[in-house]
This record gives sequence, structure tokens and C-alpha cells, in this order.
Amino acid sequence: MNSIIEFQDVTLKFKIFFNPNPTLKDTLLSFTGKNDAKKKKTQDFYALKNINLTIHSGEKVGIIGLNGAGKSTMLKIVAGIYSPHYGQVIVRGKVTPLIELGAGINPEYSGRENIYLYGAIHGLSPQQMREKEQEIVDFAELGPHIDVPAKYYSSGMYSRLIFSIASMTNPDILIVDEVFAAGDARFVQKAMNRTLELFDKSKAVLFVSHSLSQVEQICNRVLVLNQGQIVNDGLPSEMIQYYQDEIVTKK
Amino acid sequence: MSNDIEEKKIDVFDNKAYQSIFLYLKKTYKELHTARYALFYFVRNALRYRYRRSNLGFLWNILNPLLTMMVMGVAFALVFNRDIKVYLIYLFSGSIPYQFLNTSIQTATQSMVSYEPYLKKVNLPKPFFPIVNVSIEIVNFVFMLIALYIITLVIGSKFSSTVVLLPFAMLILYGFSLGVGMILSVAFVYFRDLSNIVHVGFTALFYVTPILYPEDLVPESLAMVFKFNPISYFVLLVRRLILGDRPTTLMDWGIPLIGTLIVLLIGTIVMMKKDREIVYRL
Repeated sequence: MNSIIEFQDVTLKFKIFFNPNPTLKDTLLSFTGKNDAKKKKTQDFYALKNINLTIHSGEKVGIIGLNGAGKSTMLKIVAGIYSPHYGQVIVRGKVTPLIELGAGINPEYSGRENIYLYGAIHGLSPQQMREKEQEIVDFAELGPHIDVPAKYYSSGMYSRLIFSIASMTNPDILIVDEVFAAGDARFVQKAMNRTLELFDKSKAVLFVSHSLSQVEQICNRVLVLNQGQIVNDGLPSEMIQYYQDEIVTKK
Repeated sequence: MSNDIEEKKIDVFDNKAYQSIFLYLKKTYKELHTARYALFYFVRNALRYRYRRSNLGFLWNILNPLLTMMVMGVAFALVFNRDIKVYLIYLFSGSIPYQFLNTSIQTATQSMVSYEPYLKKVNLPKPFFPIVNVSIEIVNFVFMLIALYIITLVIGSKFSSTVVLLPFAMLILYGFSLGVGMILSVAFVYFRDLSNIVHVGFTALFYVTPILYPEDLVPESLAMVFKFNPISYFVLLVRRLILGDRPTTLMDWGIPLIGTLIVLLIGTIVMMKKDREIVYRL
């Protein structure tokens, strides 16, 4: 089995700035030593600590953990947005992120323009997008509204558009982070089915969700994350049990 | 929960691709190639949406400079009693490149911060953002040239034939703006006062650049100030190619070209060093 994603001793820290945007005055004063804020300007917060992980072809990995455990940070590293401060990450294949779905959508532009823009950001040519355009419009059920600026959409229409665009690519590696928040029940079901189809097409999947039943249903491997570390790794049913017994109840 | 990290660490900030300019450029080129359609849409949409909802829409991109130039030309002809046929083309052959440098460097400076949502959510190479903003302005440069050309047709003066060399000069100006823009866009992430300083700086530079007046009107005592104003070398190169009042020399090309290569080099190094840190500082 080929490894698709490898994390080697990955550590990522966020600096928490007490004064996030120092002005020139602050900076100059800090040289003279007269600045009150000089005492303590930053504090490190370790979002991920010494993560070692190998994901092979065919694995559908669920990541569960409390808020702030580092789940989304992990996905953002795989997507190439965050670089870890220590350690190495190897990703083999094209990553399709279904995370922070609003990314790449500009509300000033029409639905159709957004389709092309989003595709372009992910490296797809206008020709490739033209082939998918109709499919996206149909799936989003926007009909004639596709040429209206997205800012005039209802929130349901908006999230339908975004999901339809984002889920229209053929991923090697699919990363999914809590995407079924908006939309009516019928569309959520449809989106869920689409995501499952994508899961089957992908070589590897990383799935973050707080819905443990979804994780159990979809994944064939689960990581339990707590305070930036992988505390357990194994079969979904066992891991969910562990998570509920050891982490949720102990909090 | 902070200091229990093991000592054994591979520091990825020492990663090879961020250590050698050659490897960094190779990597960036590859990523930019993938993002080339995105670049096209960013630039096109910016130009298209600048005048959205107006009846003439996209046409304003040319109409706006055209009308502005006409008003200024008439004003100068009436107030200062200049020969409009000569002065108009003189004035704008200098103010167009100045405008380009001014706007492109100022917008490029803000690019990382203004495209923050993209930086934090999608994986585009960092130099992409100053490139977008400089590219928008180079297209505007072309629009302004078209407007100036239309005016010369109306008032009966014309561009020199040396204007065929203008694309090369524009390439140099593009590179210069990009180089400075890369440096300042990274610096702006750390010092948010910078955009105001750049703004004032350009206002000052306008008056020490021979745009409104000819270069030989510069008083002796100020000659040094003018010599060290980098903007004027670029402005004068463009003006000479449009006016053709005297042939361009090796120095006319060499100084801007070398300056451009230097700022591009520094810009690339700054980008490379801060590439992966920027996202944490926005």
C-alpha cells in the first residue's frame, strides 16, 4: 500500500499576539525600552505537537476531538495553507479541500463567474469548467439566478452554490470539514450523497466532524485528537467509544 | 502545555525550497503556472467591476483617463497659456508612467492584507497577490495610452515611432513595481503604518519627478535630489519613447533595468524568507 499522506514529527504553533499589529510608534518605543507592552508580547500556543501519521491509499480517516484539539489545523496543513514549524509533511496527489467553503467565492460576482473563478483558483482551465458548468448549476438548483451576483442569494442558495462548485472536482485526496451546516434538509441529504460519491472516487479521505454517527458510518479509520496530539488511532467503533469515555466525559 | 516538545525537530523553515532562490523561483513558477487562470480572472474581474452598474461599464476604463486628460489639457492650455498640441503629450507621457508606478506599488503594498481571506483559505503562491495588483495597473497603463493616443489624433500631434519600443520599457516598469511591491507587501503585514508612508512618499516623489516641468528646469541646488529619485528614470524612459525628442541611450535603459533586477532579487528573497510566516501574521 502506498502512503498518500505522511506527517513526520509535525509541530505547529500559533503565536498569540497581545498587540497583533504593532504600529511604528510601538516599534520605535520598543527600541528605546520605554514601551509598556514590552513585558510580554507573544505567547506560543501549540496547535499540533509531534504528530506522526501515515495515511495509505484507500483509507477514509475520520478525525474527532474537542473544539481546539487541532483537527482543522491538521486539514489546513494537508491543504498547504499552514506550514508546520517543525517536522515534515508529505502529500502525494491533488488535494481537494471541502473546508471553509466560502473561500474563493466573491459575493459581488455572479454565480456563474464564481464557478469559473473557483475552478481557476484550484488550477482548472476555463474549458474544463465549461464542461462542468451545467452540472454545477443543476446541482445547486439555482436555475436563472446563476447570473445574479451571489450577494443577492438567500443563505441557502449561497451555500448550495458553494457546495456544488467545491464538490465538482475529481480529488486524489479529499479533505472535509463540517460542511453540512446550511441548506434545507433535502439539500443536506443530497450533499451528503454527493460527498459519499466523492469519498469513493478519492484515494484518501480526511473527514472532520462532530457527528460521531457520520464518522462511524463513513470512515474506516479514526484518529482521536486531544490538545494537539493524536491520543488514539484505530477502528471507528473502538475510537468513538474511547473518545466518549476518556475525553468527553472527563472534561 | 508549551514546553514539553521534544528537542529532536526537523525545522521545515529551513526547507530547501525556501533556502535557495533558484529552488524558490522554480517552485513559485510552477505554482503560478497552475494559477494562471486565476490570475486572468482576478485581473479581468477587477477591471470589469471597477465600473459596475454604470451604463457604460467597462468602457469607463478608457473614458475615465480620456476625459481626465482632456480636462487637464484644456485647463493647462487656458491657465498657463501653453501650446496644447505640444504640452499635452508632454505632460501625459510623463504622468502615465508615474501613475502606473504610484498606483501599482501602493495597491501591491496592500495586496497581502487585502487578499487575506484567500491567503488563509486557499493555497495560492504568495507572490500571486502583488502580481495580481501590478497586472491590473499594467492593463490600466495600456488603457491610458490608448486614451492619450486618441487625444493626439484629435489635436493633431502624434507619437514618435520609437513608441514601438514601449512594450520593453513597460516590462521593466512592471518588474520594478512588482519587486518593490513584493518587498512592501510583506513589510506591510508587519507594519501597518507602511501604506500611509508609501502614500506620502509618492506625493513627494511627484514633485521631484520632471512630470509637470522639463528636466532642465531643475535648479542646480536640487540636482542631487532628482538624481536619487528612482522614479524619474522610469518616467523619463517612457516619455522619451513616446515623444522621441532625443534617442534613448544605453544609460536610459540600463539604469532602470539594473534597478529593476535589484529590487526583483530583494523582493524574491524577502518573499522567500517570509513566505510561510505571513499567514500567521495576518
